[in-house]
Amino acid sequence: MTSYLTETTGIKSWLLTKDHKRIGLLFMIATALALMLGGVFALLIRFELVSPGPDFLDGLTYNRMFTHHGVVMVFLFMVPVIPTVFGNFFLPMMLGAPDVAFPRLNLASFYVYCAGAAIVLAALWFGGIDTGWTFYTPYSATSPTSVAIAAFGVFVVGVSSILTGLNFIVTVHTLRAKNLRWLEMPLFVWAIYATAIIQVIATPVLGMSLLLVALDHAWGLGIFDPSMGGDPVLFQHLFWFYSHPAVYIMILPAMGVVSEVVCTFSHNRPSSYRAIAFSSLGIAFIGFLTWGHHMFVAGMSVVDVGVFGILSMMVAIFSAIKVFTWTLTLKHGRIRFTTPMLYFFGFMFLFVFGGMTGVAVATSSLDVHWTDTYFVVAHFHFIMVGGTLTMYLAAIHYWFPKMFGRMYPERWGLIGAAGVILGFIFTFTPQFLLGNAGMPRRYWTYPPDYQWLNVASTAGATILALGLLVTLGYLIWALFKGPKAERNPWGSRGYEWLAPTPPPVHNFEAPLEITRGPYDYHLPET
Amino acid sequence: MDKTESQVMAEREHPGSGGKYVFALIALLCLTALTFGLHYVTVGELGMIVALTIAAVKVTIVGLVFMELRRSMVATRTVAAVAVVFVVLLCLGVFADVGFR
Amino acid sequence: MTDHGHQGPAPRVAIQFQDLAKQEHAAHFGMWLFLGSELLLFAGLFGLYTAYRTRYATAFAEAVHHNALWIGTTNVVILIVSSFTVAWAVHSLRRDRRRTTLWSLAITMLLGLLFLVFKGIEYGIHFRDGVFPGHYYAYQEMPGHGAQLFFTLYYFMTGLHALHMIGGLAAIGWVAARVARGKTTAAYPIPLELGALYWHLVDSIWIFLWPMFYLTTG
Repeated sequence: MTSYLTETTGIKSWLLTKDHKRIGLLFMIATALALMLGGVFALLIRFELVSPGPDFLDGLTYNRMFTHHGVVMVFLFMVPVIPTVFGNFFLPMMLGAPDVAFPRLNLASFYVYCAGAAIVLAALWFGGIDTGWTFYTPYSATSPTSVAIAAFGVFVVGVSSILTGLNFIVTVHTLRAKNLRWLEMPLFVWAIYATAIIQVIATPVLGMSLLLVALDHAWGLGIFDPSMGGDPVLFQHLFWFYSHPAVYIMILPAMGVVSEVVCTFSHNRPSSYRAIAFSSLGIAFIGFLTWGHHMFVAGMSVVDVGVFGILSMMVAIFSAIKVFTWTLTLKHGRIRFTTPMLYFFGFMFLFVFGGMTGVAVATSSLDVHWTDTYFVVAHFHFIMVGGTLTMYLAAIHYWFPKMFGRMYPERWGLIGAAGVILGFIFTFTPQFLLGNAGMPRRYWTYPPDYQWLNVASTAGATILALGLLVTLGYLIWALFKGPKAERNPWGSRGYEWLAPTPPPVHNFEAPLEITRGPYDYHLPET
Repeated sequence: MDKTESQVMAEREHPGSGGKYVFALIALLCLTALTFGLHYVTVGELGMIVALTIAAVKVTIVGLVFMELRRSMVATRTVAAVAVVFVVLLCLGVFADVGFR
Repeated sequence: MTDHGHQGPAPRVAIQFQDLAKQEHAAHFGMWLFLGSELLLFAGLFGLYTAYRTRYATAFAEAVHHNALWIGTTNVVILIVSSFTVAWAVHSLRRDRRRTTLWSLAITMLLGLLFLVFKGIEYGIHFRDGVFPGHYYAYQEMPGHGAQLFFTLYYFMTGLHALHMIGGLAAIGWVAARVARGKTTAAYPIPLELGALYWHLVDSIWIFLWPMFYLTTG
C-alpha cells in the first residue's frame, strides 16, 4: 500500500507537490532550519552576556545578534510553524477532506515564504540589521544596516502568512465532511481557524508599516521623522497593531495542540468543548484591542494608556478559561505520561507563569518599572518558548507516528523534554529577577552585580540547547530506524487517526463518514 | 436563515434584470454630486465628517449592489464587515492617542 | 449539467470540493478574504492620515486647495461609471451575451486607463510645482511640515491606489481575453466575477480618497 510519502518519487514530486501533507513537511524542514538559526543567535547573545564587559562581540555586532534572533525566531519560525506544518498536515484530515481548498495557493505560500526568508537572510548576511526586531523609527530610517532589505523580506514572508490564513479559513468553511457541524470539529481546527482570521486581518498592517520603514530607509520619505514633522509613535501604533495579535498567532495553534494532547492522553473529552472553541475566537478578537500596551511609556495619551491597560487584562480571561478547562479535563481521565504529555505539563506551568506576568506588565503603573528590562523579555519567552515551543515539540511527538509511520523512542523523548523544560526554566527565571532589579534589555554590557544571574541564565540556555539537540537527534534516528507504528498508537478519538498510518495521498481510503464526535472516549474508536 | 451555496449559485445563474445596476449608478452619481455641492457650504471638520459619511454610503451601495453582498452568504458579508471594523478600529486607536495628548 | 442551458462546457469540480456550488462559494469567499486583506493594507495609511490631519488640521485644509479638484472629481466619476460597466459585463456574461460583455469590459478598461492618464497629468502638475514626497518636498508656496506630510501621504495613498488600478487593468484584460476565446463563459463566469470584485474594491478606495485629498472644508 502506498502512502503520501511513497506514492510518487523524485525531487520534482516533492518540490511541485500540491499535497497538503507534503507541503507541511516542506514547511517543517524550513521552519526547523529557522529555529536552529535563531537558536544560534540566542546562544551568541547568552555567551556574550556571561561576563559584564565585552567578551567576543563588539557593540554593533551584539545589536545585530539580538535583532537577528528576534526577526528569525518571530517571522521565520514562531508565526508560521504550527499552522504551516501541523495545520497544513492535519486540518484537512480533521475535517474529513482530501486537501485544502486551494492546493496550488498552498504550494505558492511555501515558495513565497522561501523567497521572503531568502531576502531576510540576505539582509542578515550583507550588513545585518541592528534596530531590534521591532524596527522602531527614527533609528530604523537612519541605521547604517540593511533595514530596507530585511523589512521587505519580512513583508514577503507576511504575504505567505496571509495566503495560508486565507486558505485555511476557506477550507474550514467549505470542506467539512457532510455531517460535520461547526461545534463538532476538533478543537485544533478552531485554534487554526481563529489564528487564520488574525493572520488575514493583521498581517497586511505589518506589511504597510514595514513598507513605510523600507521606503523611509531607502529614500528618506520621513513619514515618521520628527525633523519633518512626523511622529515616530505612529510607527509603533502601526507595528503593534499587527505584532500584538501576532503573539496570538503564535500561541493559539499551540493551544490547539494542547487540546488534542490533553484529551488523548487523559483519554477523556474536554471538560467544556464550547469554552475552548469560543475562547479561541475571544482571544482572536480582544487580542486586536490591546496593542497599545507595548507603548505605555512611548508618549501616548493617557486615554490610550488607560484603555489599553484594561483591555490587556481582559484578554487573559480567555486564556484562563482554557487553562481551567484543560485542568478539569484531566479529572476522571486515564492519564498516560508520554512525551507529549510531559510537554503539556511543562506548558501548563510555564504558560500560566508567563500569562500571570503578562497581567503584571499590563498594569501600566508597574510597567513603567519593568518596560524595556529583562522582566519583559522573560515574560514573552515564558509564553513563546514555554508555551509555543513546548507544544510544537509535543505536536511533533504526538503526530510523529501518523506522519511518518514510525514511533520515536519514548525514553529519549522524556529525556529531551526534561532537558528542554528544565533548561528553559533555568534560562529565563533569572531574567525575571534581572529585569526587576533593573537590567535593561538589548544591552551589551552591564554592571558586575548582575553577573551571577546572567551566568545562571546562560547555563540554562546551554541545557536548553542540548535538550533540543538530543531531541533532533533521536527524531532523525526514528525517521529511519524507529519501530513501525500502528494506525492509532495512542487510542485517540481524533478523526486524523482514522486514516491509515501514514495516510494515502487523499487522506482516507473512502470518503470519511463522521458517526461520532472527535472526543467520544466513551465510545469505541470505530 | 443563511442561504446555502447551491441557492447562491442558482441565483447567480438567473440574473434577472439589470435595472438594479442602473439605479445604483444613478444613486452613486447623485451622492457624488451631493458631496461636491455640500463641500462648498460645510465648514471645518464637520465638512470632512459629512463627506466621509456620504462616502461610506456610496461604498455600501457598491458593496451591496455591484459586489452582490445582498445575495451572498452570511460568511461573505461578515468578511466585508469585519475588514471595515478593523480599519475603523485602527483609526480610532490612533486618534485616541494623537487627539488627546 | 444542462439545466442552465448555457453555452460552454460544465466546469470541473476539484476533488476537495463536494460539489460545484461549494467550489464556487469557495472562490468568492476566498476573493472576499483577499479583498479584506487589501483593505487592511490601506488601513495603516488611513490611520496615518487620521493622525496627521488631527495634528496639522489647518495645513491639511490648505494643502487640499493645491490639488486639482476637477481631476479628482473627474476620476471619481470615471471609477463609479467603470464599476457600473464591469458589473454590467458580469450581468451580460451570465445572460450569455458575449458581445455585450466584451464591450462592457473594453469600456471598463478604457475608463481605467483614462483614470491613470488624469493621474499622470496631475502628478505632472505637482512635479512642476515642486511637490514631491518626503524630504524631496520643495513646494515654495506651502512650506512647513503639515503640507509636506499631506503630500507625502497623498503620494503614498494615490500611488498605492494607482498600482492597484494597474493590477486591476491587468486582471480585467486577462479576463476579457478569456471571454473572447470562449474560456470564460456563462457556464463558468467565476474569473470575471472575481476580477469584477477586485475592480469594485479599487473603486471603493478612491471613493474615500476623493474627499480626503480633494474636498476642502470651507
